[in-house]
Amino acid sequence: MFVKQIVHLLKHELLIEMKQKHFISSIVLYIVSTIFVCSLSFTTIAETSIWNGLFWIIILFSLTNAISKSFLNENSDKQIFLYTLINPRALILGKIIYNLLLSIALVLISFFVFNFFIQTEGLDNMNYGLYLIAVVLGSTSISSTLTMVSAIASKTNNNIGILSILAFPILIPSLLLSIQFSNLAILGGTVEMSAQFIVFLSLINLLIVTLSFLLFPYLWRE
Amino acid sequence: MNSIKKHWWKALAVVLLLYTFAFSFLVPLSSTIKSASPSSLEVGKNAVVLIGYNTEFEADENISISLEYDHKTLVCGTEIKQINANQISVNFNIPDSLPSKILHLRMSTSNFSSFSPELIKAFGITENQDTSNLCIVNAYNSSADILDIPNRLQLNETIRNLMFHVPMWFTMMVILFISFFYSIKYLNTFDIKYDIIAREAVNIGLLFAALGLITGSIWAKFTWSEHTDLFTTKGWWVNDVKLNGAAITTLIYVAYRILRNSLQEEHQKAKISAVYNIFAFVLMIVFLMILPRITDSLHPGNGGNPAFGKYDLDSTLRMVFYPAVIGWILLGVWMLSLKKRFFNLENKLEND
Repeated sequence: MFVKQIVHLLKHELLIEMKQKHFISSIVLYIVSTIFVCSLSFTTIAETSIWNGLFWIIILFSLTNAISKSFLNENSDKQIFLYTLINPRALILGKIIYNLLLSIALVLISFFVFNFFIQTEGLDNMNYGLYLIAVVLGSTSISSTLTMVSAIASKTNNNIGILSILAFPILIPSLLLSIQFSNLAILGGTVEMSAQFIVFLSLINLLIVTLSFLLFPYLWRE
Repeated sequence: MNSIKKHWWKALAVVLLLYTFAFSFLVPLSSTIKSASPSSLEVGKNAVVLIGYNTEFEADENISISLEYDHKTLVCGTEIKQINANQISVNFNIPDSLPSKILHLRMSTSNFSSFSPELIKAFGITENQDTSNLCIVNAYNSSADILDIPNRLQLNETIRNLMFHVPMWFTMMVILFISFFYSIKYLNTFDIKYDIIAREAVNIGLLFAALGLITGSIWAKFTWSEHTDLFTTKGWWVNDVKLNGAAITTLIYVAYRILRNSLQEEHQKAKISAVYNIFAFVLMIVFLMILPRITDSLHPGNGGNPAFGKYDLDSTLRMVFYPAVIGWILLGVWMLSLKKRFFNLENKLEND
């Protein structure tokens, strides 16, 4: 029943996304234009760590933009009626999973666009598999934190401003971990070398999801 | 009588803090040798002037000075001559071969005995691992066991800040934990009086965070920035994991206050900010535990630096550091209880 509700919610979210194609395309355009502005100001970045840091900052801001709307329509009457039919915990898990899939798609798009526009030397040793793990784990923690915090911020009038100030301080540590982890992947690290990053990031992700799962019912229809 | 039973901890807080202030501002630093000129010696006879801090060399007959390494006395100082209270001149006869180029200076007088590690370097010698004493030094028994604060290289007088900077963070964490606890209690009962405690605890926690940042900033400026060969910073702020943790904590709780202010209805305010408080506090604690493990820090106890208790805190400092921590925490709790009473009364007046 619980899993069924989550699957149903995912379908529902996807359906809305398909109906409102302008939203997803606006986010993609946002990413492309941000990266283009960066490429106009840098073109080539000699140091890979700066290149990597810039990439993560772009990811952070585009995901903040993308996820800020996840609870935007929640206060409309129709939405409140729909939400009476399901378990709040299924709702938050469904939203987290949906936002995770969305952010992984967005991050992959931004990685290709970023690689296309901004060159850097020293990617020869890069371990692409490990970099992918870093990106997936990092964007999981960014998207799940942002989902929960956007549920909190949606109760105020100034949604995106409040979302940033509430979420960024909580995000700084996992962002730092992800940046260090992906730097290691660029330098050609192996899975054994980065075991502690994988363990820490997975634990943090698990913790964020558990906390959201426990706390969301209190935000429920408030 | 009843009130004494109830309020004894407030009296304890006052006593402990008075003790802390008195101890950390009145007790002098221990006498020690801070520098030697020249500090690099050559084979043969070297005349060295030693500069001390809080010393009284004048009219002291019982002074012996020696250079040692690995608990072995290698060179005894001869022709010791007092220049003034803080300066003394001595001759060292450096032999051709010694176990180490870096030497520690040991001094014993009738008032104090001091040990200054890695103060003097001997150039032009050959290193051999001869482990016998090369001379016998006359150690005077400095029987007077004076109460003093350890005088450490680099830290000097700023070591007194230990009683203020470190307890601020301890107090902040305790107060924020109280806030976290009452937020959980609020979500279980929806009683507004728990929300008042959680809110006021955050305000007091932020006050202690601000004090911790100010005292830490001053301390960093005067200790870490002096040694530019070790650290590349010269400012009030360094890029250090503990400082980042402090900054993140402050940002989270400032955001908490902004969240509260942007909500209107009282119970909605209480409920939503309690959710954010619990969410942020748990993640913050996890990060504060994880982050120092993956990065280096200038603070003691991280990234290869020795922890408190190894040798940073000797028994004299312990004697005042632990009371200071308890005193500051009690002060924080006291402030919180005053705030709680004030806002409970205000609530009562509004409802009547």
